[in-house]
Amino acid sequence: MLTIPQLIQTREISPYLYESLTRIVGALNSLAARVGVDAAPAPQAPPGASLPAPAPPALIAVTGANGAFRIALAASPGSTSAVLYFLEAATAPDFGASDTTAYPLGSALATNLALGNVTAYFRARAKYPDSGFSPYVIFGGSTPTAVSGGAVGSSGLAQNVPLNSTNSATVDSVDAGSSVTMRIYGPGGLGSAWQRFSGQGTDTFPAGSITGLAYSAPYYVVWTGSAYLAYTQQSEAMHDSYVFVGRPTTVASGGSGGAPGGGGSSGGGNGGRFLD
Amino acid sequence: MPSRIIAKTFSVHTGALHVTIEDDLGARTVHTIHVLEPDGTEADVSSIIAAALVQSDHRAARLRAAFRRHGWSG
Repeated sequence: MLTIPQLIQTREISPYLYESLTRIVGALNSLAARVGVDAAPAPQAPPGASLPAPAPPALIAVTGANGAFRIALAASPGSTSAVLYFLEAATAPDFGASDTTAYPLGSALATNLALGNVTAYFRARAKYPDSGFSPYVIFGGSTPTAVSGGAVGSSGLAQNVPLNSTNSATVDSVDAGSSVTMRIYGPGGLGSAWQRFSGQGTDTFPAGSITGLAYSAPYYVVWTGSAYLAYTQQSEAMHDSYVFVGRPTTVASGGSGGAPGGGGSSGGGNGGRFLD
Repeated sequence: MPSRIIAKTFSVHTGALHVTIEDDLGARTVHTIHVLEPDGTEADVSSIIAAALVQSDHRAARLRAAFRRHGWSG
């Protein structure tokens, strides 16, 4: 901080000069506080630490869910806007150098870290651009608290990702003369909508049909979002946007044989995940 | 015929015509008609769509009858 002891004597020479110099000193010190670098450090100040370190962040709060941690700090008491925050995450409570990762937050007081379903310990500290570090504030205090990132649940994923699902669709087929027509419908009978049940809730899809299919052939039937398609190869039906409906086998010429697909009115069957 | 066609899209990718039909109750069905397959002549496509419209009407009529029987509106 700049102080000019002789400044007071200039008042007797010229009040205008005194006033001008006072304003310059004030502006310089104000700027130094906001930038975080002392323009006139004390002679005994070590290099790179012209300012005293700020107080540690007043608080650290950490929560983990869906494979991500949310960390919020409270500002260092008495600090200026130049203060910088540094977060550290460790896999062990002793914060050893080899298992600790530092995340510079800049002037931000909150961040999200997507580290996955791991257990981690957190602490934070602060500094000015030209000061040493403050002491740490540790989540949990002297006994660091472990935080789990948590597994990512179905609701945290994109559509069609849930692994457990079934539906109320019935996918059967009839002989259309020279080929097979497949019919997709719900528990209300032909033309009624069907539903898919999963960890993301219940989705409703319209009834429909597919014509021109082969006799006595197994198909993978999907809803593309606007239409029904029947594939003979499972690998063709893997697009993320496809909703699996069922795996029926079409009837033989004359309408005999075949096997319906879908979960049927009670779910189950082959209305869930792809089955061979 | 109260049921109507509200969308008709030909997919170059699948070689199929996707026809969306809506009945007068607002329920929709989607029919994938393989126009490049053995039953894919123009006449066959028309008859498939006509049959789908009749089926849609029939189902809506049955639903409406059920509504009336139970004293619901519809």
